[in-house]
Amino acid sequence: MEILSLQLAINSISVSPDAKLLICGGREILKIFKLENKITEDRSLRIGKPNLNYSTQDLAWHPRQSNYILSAAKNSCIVLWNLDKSGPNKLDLIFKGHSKVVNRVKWQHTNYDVFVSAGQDGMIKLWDKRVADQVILNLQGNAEGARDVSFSPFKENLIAASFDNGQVQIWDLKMPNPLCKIGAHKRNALSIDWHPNYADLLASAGSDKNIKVWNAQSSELVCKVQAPEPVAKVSWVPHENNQIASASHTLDNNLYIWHLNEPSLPHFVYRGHAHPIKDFLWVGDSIITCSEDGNLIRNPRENAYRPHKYLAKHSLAVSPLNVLATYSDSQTPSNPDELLSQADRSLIHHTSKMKIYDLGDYKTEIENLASSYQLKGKNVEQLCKENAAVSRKKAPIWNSVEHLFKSSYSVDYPWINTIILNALQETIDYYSEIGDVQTAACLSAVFNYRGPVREYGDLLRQLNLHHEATKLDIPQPNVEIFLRCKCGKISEDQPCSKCKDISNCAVCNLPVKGLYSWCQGCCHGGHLMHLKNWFSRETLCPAGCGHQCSFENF
Amino acid sequence: MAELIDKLELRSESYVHCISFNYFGDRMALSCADQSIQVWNLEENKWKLSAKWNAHNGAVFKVRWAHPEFGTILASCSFDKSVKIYEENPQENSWTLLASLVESKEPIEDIQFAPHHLRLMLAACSSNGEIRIYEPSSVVNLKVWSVTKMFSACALGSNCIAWNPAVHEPPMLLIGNNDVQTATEKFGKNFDVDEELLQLWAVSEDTKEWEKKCVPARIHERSIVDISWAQLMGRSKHLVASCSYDGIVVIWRIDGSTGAMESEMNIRDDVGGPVWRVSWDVLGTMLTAINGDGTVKVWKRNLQREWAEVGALQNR
Repeated sequence: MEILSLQLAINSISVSPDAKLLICGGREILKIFKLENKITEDRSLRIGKPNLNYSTQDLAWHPRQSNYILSAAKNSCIVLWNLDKSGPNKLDLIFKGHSKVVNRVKWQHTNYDVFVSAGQDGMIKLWDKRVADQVILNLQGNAEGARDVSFSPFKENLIAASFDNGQVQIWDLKMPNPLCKIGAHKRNALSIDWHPNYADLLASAGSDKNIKVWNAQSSELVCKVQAPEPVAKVSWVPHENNQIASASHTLDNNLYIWHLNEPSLPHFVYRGHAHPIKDFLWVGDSIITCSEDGNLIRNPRENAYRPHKYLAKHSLAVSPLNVLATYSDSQTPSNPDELLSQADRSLIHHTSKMKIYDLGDYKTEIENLASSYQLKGKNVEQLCKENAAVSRKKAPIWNSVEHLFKSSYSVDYPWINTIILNALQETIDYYSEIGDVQTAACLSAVFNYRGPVREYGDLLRQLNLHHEATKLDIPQPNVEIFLRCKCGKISEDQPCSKCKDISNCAVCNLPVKGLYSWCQGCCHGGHLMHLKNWFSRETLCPAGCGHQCSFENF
Repeated sequence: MAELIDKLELRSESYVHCISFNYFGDRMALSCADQSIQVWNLEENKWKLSAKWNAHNGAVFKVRWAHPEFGTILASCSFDKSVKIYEENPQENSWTLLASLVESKEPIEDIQFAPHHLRLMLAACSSNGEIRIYEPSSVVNLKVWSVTKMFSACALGSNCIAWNPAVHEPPMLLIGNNDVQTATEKFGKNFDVDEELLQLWAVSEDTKEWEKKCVPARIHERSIVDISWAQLMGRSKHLVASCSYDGIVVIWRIDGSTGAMESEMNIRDDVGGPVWRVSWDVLGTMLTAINGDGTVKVWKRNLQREWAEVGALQNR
């Protein structure tokens, strides 16, 4: 990357036909540079006193005659520079006719003397470089300021222009009225570019952040690209039929290259400027950008950031139900030279598939054990015995902890006691460590030891096992179950019409948005479906208040 | 070990960058490169497309579910530099945009909701390494979100974040960063000094500000692509997995009280490409990862309590 700091904001650049010279123009700068191994200054065209004619908005080097350069000045004039002119001042002719700033000047490709200009006054004007002050043709867009204009590379009489009201207009210079007006953009249409190899294909871009490709013949939208910020300039990438470059108008200092098959993420990004890029062009294998920050940057074309390279093309996730979802990119890469219509593209990408794998059903096992384990209400030995009976797989551990526990009060030495109790704690920790949260939590609940009871409760809720979760004594200081709202208002509406707070369901502990059903007796309630399920198996209130609710009360 | 039970036809024009399950595992959100988010529901053991909408003005990088306590809420982040918060209208299977958070000047690489015991909070990680913590003005009005904390993790840029899920520990974020090579390509300027690839940040109990708590030994050699932090489930130390652009997967143990990080396993993928995603199961007993050619690998602990690869699924 080569950075040349010119200190002055640059609005436009243009390159000589032999690609050896580059002209750079801005409000206070108009200089020619030599493009060699390094970019070096050749000369400045600003001679003598500062003059508004030097204040450059746009530049166009003649495509064949390397001595002619056009500059659109801020003062609504167009200046023709002739580098072969004798004397230090190369200013050849001044073309006056626009009443406001001229946004764009472009040479005709076939007729070496003709050029076109687009002005903020809304006019498109055709000029002859040999005759100053005489407009060959005036085209009135009737669409506010004209931002860009361009000759079709295939039909010499065809021009396209873009306007501040968002329109793109196609004109045949032999006709008095435009061939078509396309409502291309929601806001200003700031830039257009004809496709260099496909007749009738036209790219436009605007303040609405869209870049659109049109068929100028049928006015149909071919495809659309979404840029991150308003787009000031678009251009087709040389030798790449499917790629468009864009520079942003504000807020964004990058040059983006978009592949039309991937319209949501740039294919390449060139960075390095501190202000928005005003103009860019390709010279051989490098790309040159200029910006308001006063820098000229030359980058080798391949020296770009490729966002795709660092973005996941494959993805996976494991669900709480132990299901694995995977996505793997299986797109068939399209031929890069083929310009595809939108319909074709969706056909190509239709094959992407996701696969769902079952990693083993642990929910059923947890559910069975959770519903049959006894955790309180009896003495410890009895609980262990019963739990060993219901769990065939985990029976050995329940049996051994029962023996361990029994032996702890059958010996008289307190130090043995301590060892045994530590062994119990270690057993619980071991099960935590290997991820058997159910065994760890249930052991700790039975023996009243430290263990992952809360995590186990959360897991049960996550698996929709609310009944089993409520069997655990989990202190939940953050959850309040209200019979009436905190603010004192008794309200059936959720959230409470007075204080806008939401009550939680006594079964699942999640807030009830919508219908809140509650018992007339104890005033606890929640989601209707949860309560219905609860009372199909239980008789006491799910909130644990001890009230014998009857479902008819709800 | 893993049985293929379903194949989903996506009708999408482009990549799926992120798959995310809801709290119960019966809904799945996909973030796609074609600017869309898709939501799939599990109905009678079949996944069915419930909604698909154009969510962003650029490729959607990540999508995440909020805890159901806060409603049916999705957050997504994108190349378009914004985070968007969506809420479902349950009757219509459609999603309403609640808020669009546009504070970042760079694309947002990752977002993560804080564990629900902390309250409704969202961490967003910009590609320039800025981390923002967003909070809604109130739980019942999710239309207004503001940045409550912001810090810069790494000048080379960050790619992924993960919250510490444990209840009794201060809020912690593990952040995965770029290496010099990626940052130089990404930002178009030269960075001389390599920075930490992984950083553990925590809210200091004294100042209540986010502070860098720990930087683990450098095992990854390239940019970190994804992090997965397992549920604690009563373990003495946390299990965290990270994967990087050079195909290395590391399982870390993090001491929740001191923040000390040690590696327990590291494996370099023999394909040589990136490992794009890692994911723990709910219990933290099994780690899955998908690599550059779409192969899924599964690790479990063996009887010697070492991590061993138990299977590979060819995903093509």
